[in-house]
Amino acid sequence: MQANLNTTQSNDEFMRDPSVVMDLRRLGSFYPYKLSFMRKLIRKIMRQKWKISIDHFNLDNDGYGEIIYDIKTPKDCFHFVVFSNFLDPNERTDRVIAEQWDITLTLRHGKFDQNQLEMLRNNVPLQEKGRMSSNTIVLSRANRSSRNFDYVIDQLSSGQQPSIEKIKEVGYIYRTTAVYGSGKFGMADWEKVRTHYKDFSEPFSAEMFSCFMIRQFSFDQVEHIARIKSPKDSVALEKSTKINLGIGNATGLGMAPFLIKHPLLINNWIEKREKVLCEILKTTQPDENRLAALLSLAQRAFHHLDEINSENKTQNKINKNAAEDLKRMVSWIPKNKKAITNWTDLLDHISLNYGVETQEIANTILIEIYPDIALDMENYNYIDEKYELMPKMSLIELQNIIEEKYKWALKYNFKKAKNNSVFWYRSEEKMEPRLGQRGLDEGVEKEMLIGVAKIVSKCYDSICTISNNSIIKSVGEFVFAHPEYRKIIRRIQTLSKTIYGEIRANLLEEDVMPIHLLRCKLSFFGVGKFDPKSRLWLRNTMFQGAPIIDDIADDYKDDWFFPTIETSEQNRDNEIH
Amino acid sequence: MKFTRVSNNELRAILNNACEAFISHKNDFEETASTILWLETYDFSGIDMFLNYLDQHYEYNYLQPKIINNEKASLIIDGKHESHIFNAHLISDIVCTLFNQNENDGLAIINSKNPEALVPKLIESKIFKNYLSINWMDENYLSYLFYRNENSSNLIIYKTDSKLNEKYFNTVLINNKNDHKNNENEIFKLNDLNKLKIINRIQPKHFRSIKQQKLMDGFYMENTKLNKLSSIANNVLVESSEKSRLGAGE
Repeated sequence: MQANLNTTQSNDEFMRDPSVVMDLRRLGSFYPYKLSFMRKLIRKIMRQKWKISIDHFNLDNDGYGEIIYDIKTPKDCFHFVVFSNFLDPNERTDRVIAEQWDITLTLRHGKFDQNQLEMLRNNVPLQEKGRMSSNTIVLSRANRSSRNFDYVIDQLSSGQQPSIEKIKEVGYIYRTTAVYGSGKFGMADWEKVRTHYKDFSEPFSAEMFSCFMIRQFSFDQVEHIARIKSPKDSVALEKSTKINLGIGNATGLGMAPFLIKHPLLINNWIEKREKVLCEILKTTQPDENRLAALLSLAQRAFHHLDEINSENKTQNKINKNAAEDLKRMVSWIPKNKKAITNWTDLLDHISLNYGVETQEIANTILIEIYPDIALDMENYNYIDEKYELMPKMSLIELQNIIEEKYKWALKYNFKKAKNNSVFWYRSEEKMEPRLGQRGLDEGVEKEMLIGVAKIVSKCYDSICTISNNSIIKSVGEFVFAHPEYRKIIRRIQTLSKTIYGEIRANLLEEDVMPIHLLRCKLSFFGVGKFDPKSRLWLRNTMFQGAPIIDDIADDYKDDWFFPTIETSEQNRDNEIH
Repeated sequence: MKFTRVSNNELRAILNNACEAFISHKNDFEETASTILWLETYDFSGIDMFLNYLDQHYEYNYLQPKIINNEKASLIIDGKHESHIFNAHLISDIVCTLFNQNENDGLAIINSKNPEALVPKLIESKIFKNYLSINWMDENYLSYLFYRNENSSNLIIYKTDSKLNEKYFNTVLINNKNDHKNNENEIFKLNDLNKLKIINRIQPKHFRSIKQQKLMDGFYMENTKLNKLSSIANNVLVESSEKSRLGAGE
C-alpha cells in the first residue's frame, strides 16, 4: 500500500507526490468534495439568491409540450427552455448515438421573443443536427427513468409519496445522456461565456446548472401529470422527497479523451484539491470537536456507500470494502484518539491499513470539516491552456525532464503486445470515442493520440539516438527535423512546470480501465453514487441531497456531502453497528 | 451563396480534425489548425490556402525547409515552395533557436509560399520582440506587413504594388525594424513606400475588435466551403459497425 504523503516532487512537504495522486486507480477513487463544481454552484445560487420561476408553462395532460424557466441572477437574466415530446420506450437509450429523447433543453442568455422560441422548437429537439444561436450556452437532453417516472406519478396521483426504498433503488426521475456547451453547434464559445456571462464563468458551471434545472423540471412535470390524472387526490412531492431525488446521468468514453487533452485544466483541479488538503495538514491539529465531526461524516459516508445500488460486482465489492474500512476506522479512532496528535499520522495510518477508496474518502472528509480553509481557496484561478514549445531548450535538458517527470511512462515496453493492445478512435456515429483491439478492429490508422506513455517513449528513444556530435542540440532543431514529436514535446515542456498534469497510466494496455478517468472527472463535477455498467461507461446521480429552488430564500446550510436518502437529521444520529 | 454561422470552438475543432486527417501525426497538426484559424480571423483566407493546397496534393509529407545561410547578418531558409501553413511553427522554432545562438537580426526565406501564414507564429514567438516587419514578393504583388505590439497596440498594414523584380519572386524578408520608413531591406529599397497601394489596413482598434466580434458571433462560413472542410475533417472518423459499438460499452 502506498503511503499517503511523499515529499519528492513538491517544495511543500505536505503536498502529496504525483506518483501517488495521479495513479489511475486512485483517480478513480476520488469523491466529490467541498469545491466540486456542483457544490460551488449551489453555494453561489443560494448566496446570490437567484430568482428562478416558470415564465411559460405549456404541458398537455401527458406532460408533453414546453416549459420556459426565467432565471434572474443579481446582474443578468437567462432562460432555461425544455421541450418534452413523446418517445417510444423502445427508442429510449442512454447512448450518445440516440436520435430521440424524452426531453430536450437549452440554457440561453437574455430575453427572447416568439420567433426565437420557434427557432428553438425547430432546433433544440434535433440536438446535434440542429443549429443554435450565439447566446445559447448549453444544449442537452434527458430520458425518463423507466423504473421511476410512472411510479412517482402513480404515487402522487393516489396521494402518496414515492417510497424511500424505491428512491434508494433509483434516485432520480430523469437521466441526462449528453450535456453540450463550449460553442458546439453554433452555441456561445467558452471564452464568450467566461468573459460575458459571468454567472457561469467557471468551467462546466452552466452545464451543471442545466442539470440542476432538469431536476426541477422533473418535479414540475410529474406533479403536473399527477394533478391532471387525479385532481382531487393528488399531492405534490414533499420537500424532503425532492431533496432525495437527484438527476441521473450516463457517462461514457467521451469524457476520457477530455482528461488527456486538457492536462493543464486537470492539474488545476487536482492541485487545488491537494492544496486544500495540504493546508489542513500544515495548519491544523485534531481536537475533540474535529474528530467527532470526522467520525460523524465517516458514518454518513458509510450509509452513502450502503445505499448505492449497483449491479456491478466489482463496484459493489469496492463499496463494501470501503464501508467495512470505514466501520473499522470509526471504531479505531475513539480508542486511539489520544495518540492522534496530527492529521498526517492519522492519514498515514489510514493509508497503511485501509484501501485506496477509504483513503480518498478520509481526505475528502478532512477537507469537509475545515470548510473555512477550503472556501478560502474557492475562487477559480483561470488558466490559459497553452502548450507552447520552448525551442531554445537544449535537447539534454528535455531528455532530463523526460527521465525525471516521465519515468512512469518509460517503464512500459511497447513491444509487448499487452502494453499496446488497444487503440482509441472516433466513430462516425456522433464522433463517439471508442476502444478497438489492435490487429483485430478497423480504424487503427485513425488512432487518436491518447497513449501519452507510448508517444513519450518513442520521442525519448528518438532523442537518445542523436549523438553528441550531431548538429542538433536544441529542441527547436530537433523538431525541425522531427516534426512528428513537436506536439508531445510542447506538452512535456509545459507540464514539467506542473505537479499533477499527467495521468500516470498507459491507456493502451490490455486491461485499461477508462472508467477511472470518467469517475475522476465526475468527482470534480460533484457527481456521486457511481454505478459502472462496464469498464467503459457508468451511471451516476447528480444533485441528490442538494437544496431545491424553493430553498433559495432560506439560509443555506452547505451540508449535502455524501448524501443519503433518509433525512439529514436521521443520518447524523445513525451509528454504525 | 448560403452561409452557416459557426463558433470559434466549432471552427477550431473542424480545423483540428481536418488537419489531423490530412497531416496525420507526421507534424503538429494543431499548430497548422491554429495558423489557419488566425488567418481566417483576420481575413487572410487561411481556409482557402488550406483547401487550395489539398486540391493540389493528395497526401501530406513533411518537406523540411533547408537552412542555406546562418550568419550573423541574416538567416536564409529555403522554403522549398511548401505552404507556410504547414511549417510556420517549425520555421518560427528554428529561427528562435538560431537567433538565440548566432544573434542574427534578420530572416530571409526563398521559395516561399503563403508567407502570410508566418505572421501568427512569428508574433507568438516574440522572436522579433514587439515589432515585426515582413516584405514579400510573388508574381503579382509586393506585399508589406508591419506588426507592432506596444502598449497593447497592434497594427497591421498590408500594401501592394505592381513594381516587381524577378530576383525577389517568392522571397520573404523579415526583420524587427520598427521604423518602416527607414527600413533597409532590399525589397523595400526597390519601391517607394508612399506610392504603394494599401489593400488592407487593420487599425489597432479594428485589430482588437475583429477578434472580439468573432468571439461574440463566430464565423459566417460559406456553405460549400464549410461542407468541403467538414468532409475532410470527417476523415478522422471510423466507420461504425455493430462490433465497433461494443467499443463504447454497449
